[in-house]
Amino acid sequence: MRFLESKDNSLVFLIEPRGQSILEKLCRKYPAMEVSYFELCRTMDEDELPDGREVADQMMTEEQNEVRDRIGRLLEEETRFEPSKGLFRLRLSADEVNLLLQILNDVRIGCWVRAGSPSEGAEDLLRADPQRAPLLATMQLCGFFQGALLDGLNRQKNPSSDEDEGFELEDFQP
Amino acid sequence: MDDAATPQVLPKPDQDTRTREREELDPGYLVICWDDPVNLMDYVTHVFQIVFGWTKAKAERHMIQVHKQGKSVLVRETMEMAEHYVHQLHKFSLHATMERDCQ
Repeated sequence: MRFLESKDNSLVFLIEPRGQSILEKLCRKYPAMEVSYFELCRTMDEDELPDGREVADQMMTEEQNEVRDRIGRLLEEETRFEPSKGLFRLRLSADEVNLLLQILNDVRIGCWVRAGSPSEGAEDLLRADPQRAPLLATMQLCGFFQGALLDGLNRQKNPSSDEDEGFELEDFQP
Repeated sequence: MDDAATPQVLPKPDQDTRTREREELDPGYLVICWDDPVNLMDYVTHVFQIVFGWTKAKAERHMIQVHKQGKSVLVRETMEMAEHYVHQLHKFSLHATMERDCQ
């Protein structure tokens, strides 16, 4: 997947059929994070907060439901992935790019938590573990798509950017 | 008879309510983002930009501080706003907390 152009306030990405299928599968894994995973504070008692943990969890659940519904509708739009010479043109607004980033990061962090929250540089250990290797692969795939989406946003803001030509799925080695 | 002529005696707010109201208006709460080994640096920068409306340069400065020093104080706010920002950052799966500023 790579950024193609910015058109009518939308970002257009080129994505191959395999990439489209993987992206959809990753999005369907949302939500992967437990709503109560993140602590609200470290040095204060959560009961001191006006809303507290229960309300925070409720808000997060509502947010997750809304995001899941939005991505479900987006993926089911017939014209979202427009065939073009054996590839697809994926057209997204900046808001939709942010939605995808949020979803992919949730799945990425959710896999990391399920893999035991390994420290940086633990990829070799994960690859050798048949239980955790798929989690690592999912994390890296999410990272690949996140990189392509962030690259698209950057290029939309800086059209003269002369960085490389974006991310290719072939370049990605899980 | 004019109702305004009879002063109305309102019940005194209890101590807890007054303390809470004062705390909610006190911009003495810090929103802190903590380092983790998994979030992508460009992603963290991007989230800071969209949650706080910062320039890329400012967002990058805070991201680098998180990465190198383990945490960054992002804003000092009222309790309510700090809670709002923490919720926004959690929505994007960043590890953020709110703490009372003791200084």
